[in-house]
Amino acid sequence: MDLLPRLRRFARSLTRDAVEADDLCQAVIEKALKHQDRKRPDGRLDGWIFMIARNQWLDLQRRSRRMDGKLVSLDAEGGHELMGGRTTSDDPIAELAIHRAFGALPRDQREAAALVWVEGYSYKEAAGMLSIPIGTLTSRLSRARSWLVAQMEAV
Amino acid sequence: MITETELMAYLDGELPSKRRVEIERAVASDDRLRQLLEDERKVRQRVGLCYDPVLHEEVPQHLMAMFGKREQPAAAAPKGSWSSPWQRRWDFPVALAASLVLGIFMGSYFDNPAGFADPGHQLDGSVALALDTQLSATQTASDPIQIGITFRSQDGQVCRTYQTSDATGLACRAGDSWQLTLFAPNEQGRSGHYGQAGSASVLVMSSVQEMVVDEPMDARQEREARDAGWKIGAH
Repeated sequence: MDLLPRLRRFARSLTRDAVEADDLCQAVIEKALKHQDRKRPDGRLDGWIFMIARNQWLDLQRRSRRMDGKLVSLDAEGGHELMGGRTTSDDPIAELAIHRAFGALPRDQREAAALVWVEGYSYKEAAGMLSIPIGTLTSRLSRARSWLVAQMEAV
Repeated sequence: MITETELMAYLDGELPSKRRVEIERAVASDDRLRQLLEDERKVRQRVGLCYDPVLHEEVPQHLMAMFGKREQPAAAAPKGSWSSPWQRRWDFPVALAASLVLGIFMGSYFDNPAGFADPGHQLDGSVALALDTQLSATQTASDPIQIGITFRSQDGQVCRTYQTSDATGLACRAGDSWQLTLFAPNEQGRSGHYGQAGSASVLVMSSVQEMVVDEPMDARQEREARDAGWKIGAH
């Protein structure tokens, strides 16, 4: 329960807006409550929850692409397309250049960046959560930072 | 040769201490590197400022209800983690008063009395010995205390940065002893282990940039300063 604020922050960095973020949280909590028995007793709760969140988010991506042709493509190696539209006036984060830039990152870079730069996990922890070698993680992070730095300079 | 990926890893606190020290030396005397580091730091700062406020938002009732709770959870951070924007490991203002730094870090550092220090604390023991005798040019990776850079401060003192496994420090020579000017424990990672010195190093280096006259000493100047007993005016 105490993880909720961090989970919301993580969800917010992955999704377009607060509504989507909280929908994601709801789905994550449902899953986590349902599968409590699957959590390893020695494992850390937050790592487990964040992995569920990331997988839920991936599911959401796939489902959304099928349902709504207007949604931006977020394939792993896809190009960058800034997320537009659907910003509400009471959602300041959606307006920020950095959020739009973050949201334009390809999926694999965005989840790496969210784990390390939003949530503060170490390279080793993040690589473990994504089940990838650390080298793969750092190369994704490196591409993400190049993009973000370039976007920030352009503003 | 310092790559942008390495700078990234440095800011993320992922580099071993010896390489960190090498990067700090390079950054201290290379404007291009310093600018690259600054650009990267700004991106992380913006990311933090963008998303961290979510931590302090009221959690929507329908999410709380899933746990059968009504009361808001305590704000995000588990003990030892850094979640508010300015505490985030790469987000330190360039000029930060030493006493403020020590005040902030004291709270999390009581577990390690060996490293605890007051402002102006006179150093003794192994750290003082290392500061007295060790040269960054000739130290080895196995030295428990790693000397960073040596420089003359605007106050006219000789100062040196150092790193231990637990912390990064900045000490200046006053009279016959070393006085601790800045002391930053390494950040505790999410896994609960100390050792990620990224934030501490960045903090100390930011302060160094404020304090240094001209450039840090090179190997020859460092040796001469030591041989002259760290007295200012040694050339």
